[in-house]
Parts: sequence; structure tokens; C-alpha cells
Amino acid sequence: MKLNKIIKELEQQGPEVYEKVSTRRDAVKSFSKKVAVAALPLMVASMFKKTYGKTTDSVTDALNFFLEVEYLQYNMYHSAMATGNISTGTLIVAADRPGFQMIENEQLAHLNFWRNLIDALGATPYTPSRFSGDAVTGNPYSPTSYDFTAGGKYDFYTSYASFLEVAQSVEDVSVRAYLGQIPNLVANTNDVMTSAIKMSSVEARHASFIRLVRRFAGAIDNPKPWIANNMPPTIPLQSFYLGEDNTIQKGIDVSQFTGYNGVAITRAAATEAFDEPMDKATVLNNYAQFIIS
Amino acid sequence: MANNTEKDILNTLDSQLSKGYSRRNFLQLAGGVAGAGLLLASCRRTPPDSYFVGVGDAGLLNYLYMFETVMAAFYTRSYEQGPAYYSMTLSELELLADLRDHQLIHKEFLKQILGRDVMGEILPDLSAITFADRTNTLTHAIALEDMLTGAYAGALTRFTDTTYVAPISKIMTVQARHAAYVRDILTANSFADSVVVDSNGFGQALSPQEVMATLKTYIATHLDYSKVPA
Repeated sequence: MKLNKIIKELEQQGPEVYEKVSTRRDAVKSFSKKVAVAALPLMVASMFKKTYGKTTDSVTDALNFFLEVEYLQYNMYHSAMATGNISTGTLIVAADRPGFQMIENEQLAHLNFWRNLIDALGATPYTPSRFSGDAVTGNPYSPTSYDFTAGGKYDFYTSYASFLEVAQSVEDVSVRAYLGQIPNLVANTNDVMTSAIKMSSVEARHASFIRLVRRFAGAIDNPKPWIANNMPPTIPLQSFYLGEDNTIQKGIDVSQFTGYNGVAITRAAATEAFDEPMDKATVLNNYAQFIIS
Repeated sequence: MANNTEKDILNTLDSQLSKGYSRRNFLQLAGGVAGAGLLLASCRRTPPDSYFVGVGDAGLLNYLYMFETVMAAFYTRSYEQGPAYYSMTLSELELLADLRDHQLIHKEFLKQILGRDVMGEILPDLSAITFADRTNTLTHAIALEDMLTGAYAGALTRFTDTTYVAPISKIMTVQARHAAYVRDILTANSFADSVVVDSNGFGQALSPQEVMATLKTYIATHLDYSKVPA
């Protein structure tokens, strides 16, 4: 299954790669009759490393950065979903659990995708420090690596409202993390740009949902599904939103546009209409408070 | 039949609009001279031109510009007509105004970066939507927002001038926020379901030709989009 999928992906790279792949496919066929079954996965992996497009170190860095973001998000949702129980009450309320389960599943899918791709490219996938997951089964849950209270700053595990504030900020920044890297990936070797684009829209859907949950719960900042100005859910999370109030897009100040009925649009609307990228170092600085080093 | 005639008139007006007339001036001029009968006749004599969407990057940007024109018209009508027909919460009304304004901003932004390559303003056809009905309106909103998110995602890998990538990607994620929102107010917890997210956790990226097959049903203007990058 997995091998077929890899071959299919490689085939989409163009005729040049296709030639390479088809000879390799023949090679796999003839080899597989002779080589012990146990040795197959290793052999196949080593063959396919060579058929992926050449990836620069900066691209590999970007992919490992995505992986780090996804590890943190998956662990955040998984630990929150696991907090509490039916008799004492769960941290995440029943009505919202299907939504958060969906988010958790999608973060896990992202994590696995990047980890497998980095591995296939012959680079070393990022692993959280103090990793207590399972490298053999691939279980990425590592509670020893993360503290989402940030050393007691947030009531993440005991207050649903606090969990939502942290989750919104982490999720909004994950959108910004992808937006920061996409313009660096335009060569799109091995479809890395396409994959990053497709994931960024899903992160944005997650963020929109969490913001709507908070809005309906009557959060004091009355959040919208989009980011108005640089408003954080709570002051300690302000740094996650710095730069979100930009209104200059490709040299044009979009806050000067005329809108409905010939009336000037609001500055807030101008900031909402565009998400803003965040560079890798700033993303990781914001996330650092949740990582046990 | 009556609908078609109306569409023809609007199309003709629209092509005049693109030549520099304002629609109101044209109506005033035509009305002042001869009244509605002659207006109808004159419109029949000038069948609407087919609008050329463009080639290369300009084709891509015009295609997105057309889509945003439809979206802006859609939310403007929803905002103006929805509350009169069904009770809308204040929250929903506030966010509906946001949706409308965001699309107007995206549309104007695309128009400005297109500069002299911008195509004539198309005429949206919203006749399939029942604005008096919340479920019907939201169902169309979901289809359009999901598709527009996929359209931006698909356009991003097709630009020759990659300086468009940064601003267009910033719009793409906001469209995804819109899509999630309109999905969730119709059906709770459906913001990123398997209709729009695959088993790798990937959202959609759609080709312009895929999108146009559906989008053209929301546009009255005749279009030639054959040269938009496939």
C-alpha cells in the first residue's frame, strides 16, 4: 500500500522521474524474489531516497519546523481531550468534543505526513526533547515533553476557557508558521509547497472553529473567526499576534479601500481580510513556554 | 424566458459599464431618450460580448477577481435581504458584514494588483439562491467558500511571478476561516470534515478549470476562460 502510494507520488513528478521509478520498480520486483521479507522495507526506503527531487537543507529545515509545530499541536489536543472523565467531567465539553477530536486526528495526520516525508528524503525527522512517545509504533504522544500551563501561567488542564485561549493562540500561530514558509518553497520539489498550502488551510479552519467556540461561550474579547487587528485572547498571549495588524499588502494599503455603499472600510476589516506570516524563530519563541527543555 | 431577457439586458449594461459608462448613466440616457421599450430593443441589437479572462498570471488573478466579485455580490444580497426574511442573531449579522467587507477588500486588492490587465466587471447570477431562506443561503455560502479556498490554494502553485504567492496565501487562509465559520453555523463541528479534508489532513487545491465549471453557474456574463493556466 505505502509503496504503491510512494510510486504514484513519484510518477506525478514528471517523465524524467518516471523513467527512474520504472526501472527501480523493476529492480524492486526482481529483488523482492531474492531478498528476505524482513529486509525489504529498508531496501525500498534506501532506493527511494534517491528518486525524490534533491532537497536543499533549507527545505528540510522548513519541513522539520512544520513537524515541530504539528508535534506540539497534536500533543496539546491529545492531552486536553484526555483530561477529566465522564463522571467528574471532561475538560472539553461534550458538545465540542467531536470538533476537537477531528482537529486532533488532522494534526496527527499532518505530523505523520511530514515525519514520513522527511524520513523518505533521507533527513532526520525532528523528535521532541524528553520524548516519551513510541518510536517503533510511531505514537507521537509525549506528555514528558510539554507543559501547556507554561509553568502555571495558564489553567490549561483545569479551565476550559483557559484551554481555549491557549489553543486559539497556538492554532493561529500555526497558520502564521505555514504562511511564513510557503513563499520559500515555490520550487515545490516533491510537492512540499502544495502540501504546506493544503495544511495551512486546515489549520485556519481549526483556528476559526476555536474562535467561534469562544465567541459563543461569551469570551470577553468577543472573538471573530478571523483575527481583528492584533488582538490576543488574553494579554499574556499578545506576542502570538504581533504583526497581525499589518494593512500593507504587496505595497498597497488595503485599509484605504472604499467598501460597502461607497463608505471606507474599517481598519479592523482590512487586518481581518489577510492573515500574516510569522518567521520560524518567532513562532518557536512563542511556543517555547510550552516545551520542557 | 423573461429571466433570459433580463439577463441579456443586464449583460449589455454590464458591457457598457466596462467601457466606462456607469450603469445608472446608461439607464438614465436610455430612459430619457425613448423609455423601456427602446431600451429592450437596443439591448437586443447588441448581444453581450464574451469577456476574456486573460492569460498567465493575469488570467489567474482575473479568475480570482471574478470569484470575489460573485462573493461580494452574494454577501451584499445576504446582508441586505436575509434579516428581512428570517430572524438573524446580532452575532450572525455582524459577521455577515465582515464576510461582505472581506470579499470587497479582496476584490479591490486583486483589481489594483491587476492594474491595466483587469477584465471588465462581470455580472453575478445569484438566481439559484433563495436569500429568504437561511439554510439555502448558508448551503450556497459553504459551497462557495469551500471552493474559493480551494481556488486560492490551486492558484498559488500556478503563478509565474512568485511575488504573488505571499499575499494570495494570506487571503487563502482567511477564506478557509470563512468556510469553517459558515459550515459550523449550519452544522456544528463540520468546519473541517472529510468532505473538505482528506486522510492526510490536506485541504483542497482546485484547478481553475475545475472551479470554473461550477463558478460559471453563478455568473451571467459570457466568459472565455480558456487561457487561464490549467
